[in-house]
Amino acid sequence: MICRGGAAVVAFLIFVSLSALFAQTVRKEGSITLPAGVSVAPPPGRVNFSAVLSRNAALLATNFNDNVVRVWALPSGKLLHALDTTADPATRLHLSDDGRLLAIAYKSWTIKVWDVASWKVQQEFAAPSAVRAFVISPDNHLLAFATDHDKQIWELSTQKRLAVLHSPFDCYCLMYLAFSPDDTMLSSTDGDTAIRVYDAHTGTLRSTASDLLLESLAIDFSSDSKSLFVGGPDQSISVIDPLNGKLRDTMPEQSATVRGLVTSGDGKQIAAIYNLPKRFDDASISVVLLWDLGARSVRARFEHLGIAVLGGAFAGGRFLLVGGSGDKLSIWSLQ
Amino acid sequence: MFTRRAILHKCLALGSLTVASKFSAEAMFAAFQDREKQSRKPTPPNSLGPFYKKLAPITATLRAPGDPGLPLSLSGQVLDTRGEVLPDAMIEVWQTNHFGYYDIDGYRYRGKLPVDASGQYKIETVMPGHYPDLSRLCQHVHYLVTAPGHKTLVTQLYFATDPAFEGDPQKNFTRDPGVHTPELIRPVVLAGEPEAIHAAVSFELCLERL
Repeated sequence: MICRGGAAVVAFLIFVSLSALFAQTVRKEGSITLPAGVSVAPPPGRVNFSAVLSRNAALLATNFNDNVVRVWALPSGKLLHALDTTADPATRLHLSDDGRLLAIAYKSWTIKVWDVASWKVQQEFAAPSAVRAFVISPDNHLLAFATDHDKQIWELSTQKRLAVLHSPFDCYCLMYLAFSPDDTMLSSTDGDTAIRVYDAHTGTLRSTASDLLLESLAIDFSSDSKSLFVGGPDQSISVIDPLNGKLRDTMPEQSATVRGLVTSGDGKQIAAIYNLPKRFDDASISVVLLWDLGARSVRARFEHLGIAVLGGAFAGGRFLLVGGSGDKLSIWSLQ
Repeated sequence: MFTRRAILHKCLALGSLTVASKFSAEAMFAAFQDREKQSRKPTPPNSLGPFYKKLAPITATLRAPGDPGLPLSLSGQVLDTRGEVLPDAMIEVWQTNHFGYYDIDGYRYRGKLPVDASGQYKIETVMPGHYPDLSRLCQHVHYLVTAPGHKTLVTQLYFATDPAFEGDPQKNFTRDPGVHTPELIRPVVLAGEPEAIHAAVSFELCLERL
């Protein structure tokens, strides 16, 4: 069946109409007013990769239309650092799980790793082409990045390249990477729709999940590193065994594309950020569902029409999410 | 102004070119020039997704009777950068329907087909629609082309008639941030009776050797 506009709208209305049932679970924690002329909306044609949170929910890093990378404390919204990247615009951001490191990919195909406390560049890496995705391992020892041609794993402290992982073909597509919480595995979404799991230190291929028909747009490991969650335009969350690549489970399908997945530290929940299936980069209407992994059911829901959800992280038992519209960023908690 | 042949003669005379063959220098110059003419630029790549779906059916007919939209024939030849035909190439295409929607659940407007012995292909489809509410992103057809011994090509075909280009794709191609080069924008030929109009676009695909 072809996704049609009318059907999508009806499905979306049903999708969000139950939000009142969960209204008591959503709480506004704070807000940030951006400087004059700065807007949350991505420039035309650019996917909204403009904000990231550290997994410990302590920091938010943003890069909006003024080419200034800003680091904010959460949930207070206090501005900690601002870095003008106009001379070599930042294209992607990543905060380490503990918020100690901020990795910035630049238009010049370089990646700089900043120490957030001292606000100094700690390491610098040259990528062979534009960086499509990058991630720092939970123990802050490894950096992995993906370009159109390959994926590479580097040791941060020695700046030694540990592995070059060749992609099935140059796909010029969005890619997503995730390290397992135990730092032993690196997983990637590839253009051929497969999910590949590598040894994080050697780059040896451990498994390939090839059951998915569509590309995946979100990926995260469970807290015990024993499951891999992926989602995308197929509107469902697939649970994969990273050791053998077998599809273990599929969470009930929703009416929207999965654009982000974040697992909780206790392994009991996963937060999924959905967008309407109009277009993958249209973040103007997004919904967050908090899934109870044991019951395989939705325990909380967030949606605000016109608010683009930029990301989120678990803080204790609640999910802290950041969304925005115009020059305003807001921080909500969901539980 | 020297001709190419004259330059080759001069190179031979000055020692910057040596002919080590049982054939005459003239014959080798002719072959040299012939091969130079065949040298082609590889088709520029373009982004894959994110709506690529694997296991597309083998078919050259994506259009079903009664489908809304302008009937469109896509055709061309698959070659390598030396101009040699790739008869073992496989082409996979996918696009939106007339209304700008991809079929995520099934395989409408998705197909895979082998080229014929002369590297030619022909696909019957409809002109893809613009993404709803995102008309700045141009109409396009995705291609994934494979051939043994050659680098897989992932690219997209755009149409010179797209309103975003305002009739001048060479000048206005950057209006869609996804279009990195005007080389992927092709002219459209309209044919048939006014009540049964159809469009045709030729798109040659040139693959690099591994």
